[in-house]
Amino acid sequence: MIQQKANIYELKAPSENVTVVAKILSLNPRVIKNDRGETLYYYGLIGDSTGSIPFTAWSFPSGIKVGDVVEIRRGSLKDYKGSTRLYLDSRSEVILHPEESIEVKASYRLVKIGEIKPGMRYISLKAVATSVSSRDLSRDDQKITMFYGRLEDDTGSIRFTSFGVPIEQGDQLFIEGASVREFRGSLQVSINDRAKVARTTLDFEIGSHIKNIGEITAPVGGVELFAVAVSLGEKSGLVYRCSQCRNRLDEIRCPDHPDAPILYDIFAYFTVDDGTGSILCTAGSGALLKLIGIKSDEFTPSNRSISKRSVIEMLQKNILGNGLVITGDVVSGTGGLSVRGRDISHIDASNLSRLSSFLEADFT
Amino acid sequence: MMPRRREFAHWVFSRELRDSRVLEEKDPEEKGKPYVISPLGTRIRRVIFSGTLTQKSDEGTMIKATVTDNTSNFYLSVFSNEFNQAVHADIESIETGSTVIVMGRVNPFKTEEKLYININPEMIARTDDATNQLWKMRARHIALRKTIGIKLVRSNPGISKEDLVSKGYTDEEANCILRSVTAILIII
Repeated sequence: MIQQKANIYELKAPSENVTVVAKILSLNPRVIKNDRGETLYYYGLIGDSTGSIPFTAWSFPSGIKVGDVVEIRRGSLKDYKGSTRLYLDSRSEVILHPEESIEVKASYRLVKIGEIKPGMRYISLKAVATSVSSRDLSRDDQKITMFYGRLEDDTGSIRFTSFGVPIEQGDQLFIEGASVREFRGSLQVSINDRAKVARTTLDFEIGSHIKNIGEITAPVGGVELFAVAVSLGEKSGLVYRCSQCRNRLDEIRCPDHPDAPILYDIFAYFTVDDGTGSILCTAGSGALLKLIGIKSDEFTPSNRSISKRSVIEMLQKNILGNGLVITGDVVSGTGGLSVRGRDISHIDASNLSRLSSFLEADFT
Repeated sequence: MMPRRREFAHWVFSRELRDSRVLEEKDPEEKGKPYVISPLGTRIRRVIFSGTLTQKSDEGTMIKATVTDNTSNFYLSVFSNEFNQAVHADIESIETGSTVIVMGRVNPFKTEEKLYININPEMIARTDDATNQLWKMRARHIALRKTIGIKLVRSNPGISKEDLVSKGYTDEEANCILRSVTAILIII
């Protein structure tokens, strides 16, 4: 008789001396190379009747295979890239229970992109792949194609990666069992061979994702804010970069590449308020050049009209006290939530009309 | 060190601020001015508003100015001291008749007869008509939601904060709505 110590659904990081009884759902060896040579470790997924959890094992008994039921003793739980992971080290024990069987919970909560929160593990979602790129990778001497881009529904957008499962731009998808990760403050979903991906016809329309700042409580992609900039960060302005290493420079010469020409870049951080709350917005040249009315091919060191002073004056004139429409992603950092602006424009009559419809919908 | 929570800046019409009669009692140990409680229950210490700069006078130690949003006036005082240099320079450079947007601290002064409310600007900038429209649209929407909530509570006196939240009001709005009804009772 197996004494089950914890249901997978209840596991929370950080925690030590964790004992679980679970079925091996996937098990993969992996070799990493470092200064000390090669190290073999295992990673995969275990599940029970309440859910599943990824694991990493620095040692793992041979002979155990996918489908076996095992009791894992003295494991530890840690957060890794926004999701909880079970770690097995030399103190951990893995005991095979050959007579036992476990039915693993294989249903995942169907969520909208706007509902995805840090700490969610596996989800199902219906979304359109609005942008897709691909890259060939080599993993354990095997070539694999990684597809990446953005998924979008009627509540927001989110980055995705798909390892081996082909996704094309415009695909309308029903994805079951995608995992949620946090990478550099942004949430993303990962589709691996364990997830099921089906092409479908979606019953919603992709449109704008106007949000009130007061309603933003977690990272989410593709939001549109209508707000007024009430402060501009002191360190906003013109930035010099080395054309070779792209590092930000304090001087007009890169210490590592003194002969490389410098490039101009621009960065701003400012607080925006929409009456329901305020949030910090950060933006780079992609969003700011259009806002301050400079063409990218004119934004070069050879253009004598551009200086640190002129850029800060343009930022002050075009940001501070202006009504802005900001499209971007809400990300989480040490200072809390902020918006990375991908597109920023001054509010105009057509935007006001859209905002009016959004606000009036409250009363219908 | 924990980051200090930013004081919420309320988008309110000057009429709502002008009609305020209640100051929240504050702990003598607590820094800052007391909160003003508006007729819509808004607990105000900081505001954002937009309107026309209709009057400006330099009185040596301060610049006094008036901004109208067509419901009433906001009265601004910008002192000439080292903490206000940027705002002082900004308001000096703005001509009367310009459309402005202001974020500022509310500075209440209560006599036996009346509550006087001044604004000490932290930011003032010239703005355009579209931004002014954005502010009006949002401020009207915020006020209208609270007004509908207040009517709801008056017609259903037993209604709780949870009931309001379940009807789609935010925590902050539900607090304002219930505070408004209570504050009005105190005045009566």
